[in-house]
Amino acid sequence: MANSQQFKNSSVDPASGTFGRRNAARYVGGTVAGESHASVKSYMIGFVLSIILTAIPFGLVMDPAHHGFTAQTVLAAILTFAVVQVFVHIVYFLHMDRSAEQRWNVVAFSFTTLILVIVVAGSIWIMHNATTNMEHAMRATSSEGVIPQK
Amino acid sequence: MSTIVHQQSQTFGAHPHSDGPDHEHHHDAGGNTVFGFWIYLMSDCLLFASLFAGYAVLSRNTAGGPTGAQLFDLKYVAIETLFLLLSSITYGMAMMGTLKRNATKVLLWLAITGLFGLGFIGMELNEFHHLIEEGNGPQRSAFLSAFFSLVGTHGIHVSSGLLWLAVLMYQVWTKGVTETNRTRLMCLSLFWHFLDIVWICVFTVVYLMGFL
Amino acid sequence: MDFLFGKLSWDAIPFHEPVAMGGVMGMVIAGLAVLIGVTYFKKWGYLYREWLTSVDHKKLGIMYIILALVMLLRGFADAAMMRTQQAMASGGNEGFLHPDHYNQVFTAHGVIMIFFMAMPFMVGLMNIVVPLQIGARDVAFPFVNSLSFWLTFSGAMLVNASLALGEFARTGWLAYPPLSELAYSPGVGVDYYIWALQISGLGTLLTGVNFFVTIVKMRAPGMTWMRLPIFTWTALCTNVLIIVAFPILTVTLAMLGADRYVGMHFFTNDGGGNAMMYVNLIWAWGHPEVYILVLPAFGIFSEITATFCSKKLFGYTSMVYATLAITVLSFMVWLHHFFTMGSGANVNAFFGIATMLISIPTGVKIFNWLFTMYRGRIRFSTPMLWTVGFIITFVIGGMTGVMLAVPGADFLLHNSLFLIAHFHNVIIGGVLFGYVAGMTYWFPKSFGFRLHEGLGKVAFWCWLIGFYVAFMPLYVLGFMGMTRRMQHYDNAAWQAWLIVAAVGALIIAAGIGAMVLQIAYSVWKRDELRDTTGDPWGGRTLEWMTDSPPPFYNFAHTPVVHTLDALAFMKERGDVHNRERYAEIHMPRNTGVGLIMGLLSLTLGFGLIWHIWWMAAGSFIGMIVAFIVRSFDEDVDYYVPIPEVERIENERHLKLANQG
Repeated sequence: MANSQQFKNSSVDPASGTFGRRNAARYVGGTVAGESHASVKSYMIGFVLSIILTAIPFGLVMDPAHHGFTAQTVLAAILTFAVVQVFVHIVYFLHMDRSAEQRWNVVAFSFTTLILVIVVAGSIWIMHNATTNMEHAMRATSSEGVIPQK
Repeated sequence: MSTIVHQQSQTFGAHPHSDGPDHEHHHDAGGNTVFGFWIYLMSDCLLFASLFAGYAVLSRNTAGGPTGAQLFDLKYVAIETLFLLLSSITYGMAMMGTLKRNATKVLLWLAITGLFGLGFIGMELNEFHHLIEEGNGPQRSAFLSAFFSLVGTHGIHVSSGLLWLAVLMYQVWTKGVTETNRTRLMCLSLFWHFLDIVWICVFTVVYLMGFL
Repeated sequence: MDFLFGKLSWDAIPFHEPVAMGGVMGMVIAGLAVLIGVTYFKKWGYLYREWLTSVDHKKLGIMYIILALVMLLRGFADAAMMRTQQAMASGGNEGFLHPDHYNQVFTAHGVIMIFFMAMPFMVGLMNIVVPLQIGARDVAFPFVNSLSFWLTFSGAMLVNASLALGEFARTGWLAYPPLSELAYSPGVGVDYYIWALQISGLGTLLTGVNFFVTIVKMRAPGMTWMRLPIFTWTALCTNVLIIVAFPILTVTLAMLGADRYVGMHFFTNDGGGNAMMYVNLIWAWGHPEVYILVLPAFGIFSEITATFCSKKLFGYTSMVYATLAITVLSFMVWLHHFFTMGSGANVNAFFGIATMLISIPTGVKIFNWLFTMYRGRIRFSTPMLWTVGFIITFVIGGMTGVMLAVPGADFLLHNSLFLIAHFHNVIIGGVLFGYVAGMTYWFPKSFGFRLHEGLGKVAFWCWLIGFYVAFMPLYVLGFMGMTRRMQHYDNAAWQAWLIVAAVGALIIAAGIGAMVLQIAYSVWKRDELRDTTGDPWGGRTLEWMTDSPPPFYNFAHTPVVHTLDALAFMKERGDVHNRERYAEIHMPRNTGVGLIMGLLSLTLGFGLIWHIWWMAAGSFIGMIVAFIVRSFDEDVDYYVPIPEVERIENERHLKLANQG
């Protein structure tokens, strides 16, 4: 008759594996956000990278001449820097990596990001179109006070 | 009338955890809690995403009032950003203390984190107060409604984190770095870093883009 | 307006509206009957200890379903009133509901049916079934589970309170601005709406997180993903949708609330607000919401079809992938709810095509059910009847949906009765039929006796026939140009169809009556309907392995799974009952904190609605304090001693031996 001994240490068995005396070092919660991967070094690297990735966008925007770049370029740049810095935080502060322990966190985060992009980009696309068409319609009737302003 | 379901056995007292074969090991409760909290944070991502979407749509609707460029002070925001980033690092240091089960180290770094966090919130409240005093509160225009809501929601999250931090500091102080407290410290760590990530998006989309 | 009572005064009670007062009296009498009954039978202690403070998923599930069934009665009462009004109010006849009241009725009907009937029903079924199906002892976070229930309960109570005190929203179930803004809805109606949904929405979100973690982390050993019961798969996908969709609702309602309470300009006509953004955001939530409702129903039908055809589900793998596809696609179609809002042809085309695509995986499912039935030994018990009724009805509703997915057609049919007929077609035919089938199917597991079969069949036929009689005329009326939500109309040609629809509503009423009777009669005759095996239908999944009702800890030994349809496999091997040594079982303690926080959320909502700020602030602080106090509680679990486990298990084995 089958018993749970066959499934010791399997990720499927809730009755063994990552808890209990045997695995005290790989502690409770070590399975998520990689407590076991935390180190002073990772925080320091993350900190320095974040400072750089923050200083450059601020520098670009705070200079009225944008250091010679066009507004379009600066926009693209700061958005890119933001995305990169988000990943820096994820890797160096949240310790997300490709290990088996982190797998579910990565899956959840990836799916969430997908939905997020769809909802935000979709909303902007939709609303931009809807608002533009409103302006066209208003222009066509060419009167300012079509919609009463309180 | 027979009982419809069995009565829960409430009379049995908490039994010391024995490791013998008689005792079925419970599942990894702490790990589940941290994972559950991460999933909650995923829902919080969508919460902020919706606020960002709203901000993106309304950011130009200034209703004759001031624009972001006319209101924002980037040097001020840079300092706020530094405070929040530093608080992330100091929380990381607190987590190092947790790994070593060193309650004193944990409390020290948590206190510093709290100070940076309070600094951030103080600056933000000051900024809001200033704007409202000048008549540029959230009622002035859709842009300002969106601004106050997005930045304000982030601020409310940080403030909740500070309350949580205080309670957890008290719990660590009285009970030490127990398994329960470690799980909670882990969850707050996720929360805190997550808020720093959201702030990256806030300063980029709201403050920096306000000038472009 | 004063400090103690905010905007509340005696005027809030609708003395001048006889119909509303009738409803209030009904609610008060029913409520009093329950309170007096519990007191007379001296059951408060029992109720508090065993149910109100329970963190047991099986009990919470039952409470959710009781809430859903009670709210079904209220929601249906609204429907009956609407049908009656429309059957009467042609030409010179004004009917019996004046427009302000009628508007509240159709709003309440939608809000109650979606948020306080369908959602709790679904969450209730998930609660009862999922932990058992995966071989677990409870969900990942039992306390949070209790909190979720009480938050939902409070939301429902706020909606009920609106009948007696004040008014409800008059905006339709999604409360579009500018109508829902303060300028056009100055009363408390929209505020009731906002807070009922925010509070219960939080409960739902917590449920999503809870069940996701449960399914991912607490499956029995050997239960790999492709051995997961199909209902649990659909539950998993539903919970994923809840986690990512509900925050959008929270933000959108918060923005509306900010406009109303603080004078912001998200959706106002002035100040740069954009009412269209509300429509966009609310449907970005709203479309996933309908998939949240229907996916578990699909899962239920899969379980029932396999069981009652004595055959494994055809195409399990494709069912899983279809469900996953629907989950992702459900986030790419939301604009089809507002093709006419003016985003233009390109946008409409994209979403129209995506909408048509999403019907494909659903079609795959229909074929899988049919192929499961083909050459199966079909038993037409009540759950199977609901399933066959669903297949026919849902396909029709789905097809009209694909018609509406064509933007050109939708420009004519949007907000006509054709739309109303379509979504009721899929919601009643899909969601409601599914949940009632699930309730009938799993009732014996929860209570140890079956529901009476004859009355079940009466209920089914009344619902099926009643549905068609009530809603097919609405398709015709849609083509004839009748708009939705009309309190009165001048086109006499419509009346005949509306009278037919009203008759359909009457037949459905008989169906509901039969359901109520069925439950009451079954409780009365429970000894004759008793099931002592724990497996009255010949089930294939783990929940049928336990006693009915299961012991509070579900499984004395965590089952080990080797295949899909784990129990069917065990039965073939003759290997169902494990009598090896028992071990202590780790269980969570009951707690009153969920109940307290839930009730505080009720006073929080009430205070916010009526601008009783001290009540709102106090409740909010109280909720936080309760939660923090709970965090200091170390006595939150215990171990069931082995002798106790032995006693319970031996009792069961004796019962099995005696009836064998």
